Amino acid sequence: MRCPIETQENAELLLSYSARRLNPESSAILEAHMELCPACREFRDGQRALWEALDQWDARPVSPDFDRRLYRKIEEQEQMSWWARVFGSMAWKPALPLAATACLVLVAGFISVNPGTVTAPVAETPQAREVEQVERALDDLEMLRQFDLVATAEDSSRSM
Amino acid sequence: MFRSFFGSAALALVLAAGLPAQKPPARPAQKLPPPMGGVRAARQGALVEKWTQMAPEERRRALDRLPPERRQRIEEQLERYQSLTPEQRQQLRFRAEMFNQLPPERQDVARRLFRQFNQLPPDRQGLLREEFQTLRALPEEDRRNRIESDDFRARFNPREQRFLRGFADLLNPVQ
Repeated sequence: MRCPIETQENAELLLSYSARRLNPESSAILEAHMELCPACREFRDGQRALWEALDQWDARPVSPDFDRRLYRKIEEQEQMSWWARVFGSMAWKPALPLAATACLVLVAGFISVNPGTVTAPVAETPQAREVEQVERALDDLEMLRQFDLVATAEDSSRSM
Repeated sequence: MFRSFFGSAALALVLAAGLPAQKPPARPAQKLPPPMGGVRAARQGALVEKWTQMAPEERRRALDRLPPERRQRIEEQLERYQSLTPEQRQQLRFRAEMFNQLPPERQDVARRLFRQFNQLPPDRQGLLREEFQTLRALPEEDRRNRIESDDFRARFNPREQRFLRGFADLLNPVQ
């Protein structure tokens, strides 16, 4: 097997393996490779630590009046005139021009140090977007097929 | 004579009384827009249906640039969806519609928990599915008591408990 890290090919394999989505055959091949490859082992350990940290992490609950406060803010924004919205939002950002200049200088510096390495991002095609949408929809449906998350106790008699 | 006079008068009275009560001509009923969750679910459903009906070659081309693992996962999920009966599909679409009406942050919590669930061994997944069914059938208070019980803690490890608690929370009404 060619090393996914060295060849930059099949990097998805390592990610899928870390997320335990890889099929048993490919997992076995990759595990055999990792026995010999310290770089891949290190990557796997890092990913494992990351997943464990994510598992431990619990999102803080949203405050009960969050929606009310959000809608009030939106309402206030909508009631402001357009010029007040534009200038009002800029007024609290006096450092913006300075930050923009600093970014430009950094980018220019990077390009001058690495000529020819900066490439335009690959445009996302509508087809790729649709694939992502269908993937997400299928993930949701799979979850809802296994778990009826919105049913009440009365509905529990109906099951798939 | 009298009879016909009173008859006509009574008829006139009835008609006159009915005039002010008459409703203006009914306008065509305005169709209320479906809630956003419903729209999103309908769009999702239509998209999945479209993909299930795609010719194999067309689908292969569309998924061609994806890494093999991802492609395989999508294919499997599409096959699973295709294998459902029309009633099951309808029920699933209903669930999707309800799910999409949850606040986005609750939806994201569910997705995150389900990703964690998918990493569990299959036998534990089965147990958690069963336990969730039991929890779902209970009233909110009993559900809470069960989750806090020693039996529950003994049967499930902390990670599994966190998953079940998270999913059970999603069954409670939005505060």
